[in-house]
Amino acid sequence: MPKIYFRPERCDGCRACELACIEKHSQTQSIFMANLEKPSPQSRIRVSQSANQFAAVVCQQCLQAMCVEACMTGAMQYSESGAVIHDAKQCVGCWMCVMVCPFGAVIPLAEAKKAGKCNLCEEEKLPACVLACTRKALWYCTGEEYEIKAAGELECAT
Amino acid sequence: MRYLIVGNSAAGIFAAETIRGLDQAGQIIMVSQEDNLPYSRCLTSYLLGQEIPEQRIYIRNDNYYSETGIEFIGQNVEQVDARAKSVLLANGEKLSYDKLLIATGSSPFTPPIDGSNLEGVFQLRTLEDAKKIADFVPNVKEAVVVGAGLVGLKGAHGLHELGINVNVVEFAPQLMPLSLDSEAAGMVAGLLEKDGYRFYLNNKVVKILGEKNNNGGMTVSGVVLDSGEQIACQLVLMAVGVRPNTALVRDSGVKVNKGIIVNDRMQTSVEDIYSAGDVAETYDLLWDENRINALWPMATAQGIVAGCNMAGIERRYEGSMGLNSAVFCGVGVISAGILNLPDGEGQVFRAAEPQRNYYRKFILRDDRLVGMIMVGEIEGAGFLSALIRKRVKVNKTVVNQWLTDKISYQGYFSEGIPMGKVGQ
Repeated sequence: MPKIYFRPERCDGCRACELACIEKHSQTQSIFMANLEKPSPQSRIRVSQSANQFAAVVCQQCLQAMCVEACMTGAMQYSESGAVIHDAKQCVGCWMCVMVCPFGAVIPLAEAKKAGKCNLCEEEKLPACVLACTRKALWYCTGEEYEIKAAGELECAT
Repeated sequence: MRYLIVGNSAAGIFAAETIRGLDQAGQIIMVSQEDNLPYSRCLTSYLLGQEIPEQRIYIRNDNYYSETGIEFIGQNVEQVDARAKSVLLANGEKLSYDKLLIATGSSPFTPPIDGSNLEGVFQLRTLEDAKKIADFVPNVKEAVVVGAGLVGLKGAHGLHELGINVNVVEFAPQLMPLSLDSEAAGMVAGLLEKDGYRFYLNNKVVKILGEKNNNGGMTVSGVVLDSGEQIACQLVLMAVGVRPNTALVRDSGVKVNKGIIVNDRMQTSVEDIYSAGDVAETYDLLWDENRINALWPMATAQGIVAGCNMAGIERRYEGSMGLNSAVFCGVGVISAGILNLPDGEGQVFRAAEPQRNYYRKFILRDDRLVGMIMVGEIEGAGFLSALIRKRVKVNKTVVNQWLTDKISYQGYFSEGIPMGKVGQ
C-alpha cells in the first residue's frame, strides 16, 4: 500500500503541504475561503522547525496502529487496502487517538469535536500535499518503492 | 483448532479478529453473558446523555459475527474446567476448547452502604445499565453520583446532559484521584462547577434514604453524607470502582491475585488458557510489577497479543501504563504514567494558566519521562505517551519548552536524541 514518506534533507519549510491539505479539507476547496469556514479546516500534515531543520509529520498508516487500538468508538479502522481510516460520523471526540499516536499525526479538530487525520486524499491519484511539494520532500509510494528511491538518492549523493 | 473466547468487549473482539487474520480455518467461538453485538462500554455515558443514538454504541456492523465467522453464544460462563479443557455455561451446556481466552472484564464494585438495594440506585457499566437509567430518569430532578473517577464523572455528565442537577460525592480530596493531580483536578472541578455540578469532596455517602413509592416498593429519596449533610435526590449512581470478573476460574488452577495473572504472552498459569483486558493483571512498565490497568487501549493491545500467541505466532506484550483522556466542558484532559512520585524522587516540570484552562505537568525520573498531564491544548500528547512507553531519555531543555510550546518532533533531531523505535 502506498503512503506518504518525508525526506527531511529536501524540505525547506515552505509549508505548501499544509496549505494544500487545508484547501483539500475545506468545504469551498479554496485556500482563500478556507479561513472563513466554520469549522475552519485544519491541516493533517504539520511541519515543525528546530534550528534549520524541518520535520513534516503525517499519518504513517501503521500496520498495527495505536489509534485503532485506542479508539473506543470503532471510528478508527483499517481499510481493505490496509490504510488507517477514520469515520467522523462515529467519532465522539474523546481524543484517545490523540493521546496515543506516537507521531502526533492525529489532530484534534476542536471546533468539530472530531479527530482528524490524513486520508491519503483517497479520491485523488496523488495526495494534495505531495503534489504541492515542489522540492519533492514528500513521496507517495509503497515501502519497496521508497527503499529503492532512497537508496538511489544516496548513491547519487556520494 | 478450536478457539474459545469468553467476553465480547475490547479484548475479546481484538483477539478474535487477530486470530481470524492468522488462522482462517480455525473455529472461533465467542461466549458472553451480554447477548448482543460488540459495543463500547466507554460510550454508555454518551448514550445516557443522548449524545449518540443507540446504533452508534456498537463498534462493529450488524453482520459482524457471520462476516468474521465467529460463532456467538449469549450465555454466562460459570466455570472453567482446565483438566477437561472445557467450560460450563449457565444453561448447563459444556463447550470444549483447544485454546481459551478469558476476557470477562470487570464489574462495578458495590460498597456496603445502607440502602444500596433501593429502587433508583444504579451503576453504569453495561448497555443494559444505561437503558435502565434512561427509563428511570423522567422522574429525576436531582441525582447523587458516588465516586468522582472517570466513570463517575462521565456518568454525571450523561445525567447533566438530561437536565438533571448532579451532586458528586468523592472520598478523596480531589476529582479523579487516580488519573489527575490535585491542581489539574481543581481546574476540572472549576469547569464543572461553573456548569452547575456540585462536589462534595473528602466525603462519603453513609446511608441512602428511601421512601415508599406507588408500587409498594422503596425508592431513593436522598443520601446522608459522612459530614452529616443530607442531599435530597431521586437517583444514586454508584461509581466507586470495578473488580475483575474472575469467578469462572475458581478451582481451575489459574492463578489469581487481584486479577488473573498473565505473562507477557498473555498466558495464565495453566496451559492453553490466556487472559486479556480488565480481568487480567499484566506487567505495568512504569511500576515494574503486575497491575490491573482497566483501560480500553490496554485491553485491545492485550487482546491482539493474546490472539497472536493463541494462533501460534509468538508476540510479547510490552506492558501497560495508566493512560486517560477525557473532555470536560470542551476542555481536553490527558494524563499518562505515574503522576505522583514519592517526595524527593524525580523532577517535576509544570506550567499552569488557570484563567484559560491550561495546565501541563511532566514528571521525570532518571532523566526519563514517567508521567504527564495536559489540560487544554492536548495536541501531540501521543508523542509524549510514546516517550513514556519507550522509556526514552529526554533532554530537560526540550521538556521545558514543551511546557509552553506545541509538542512535536522538533528538538528531537537537532538535540541528537535517538528516537529509537517509537511507535512500532
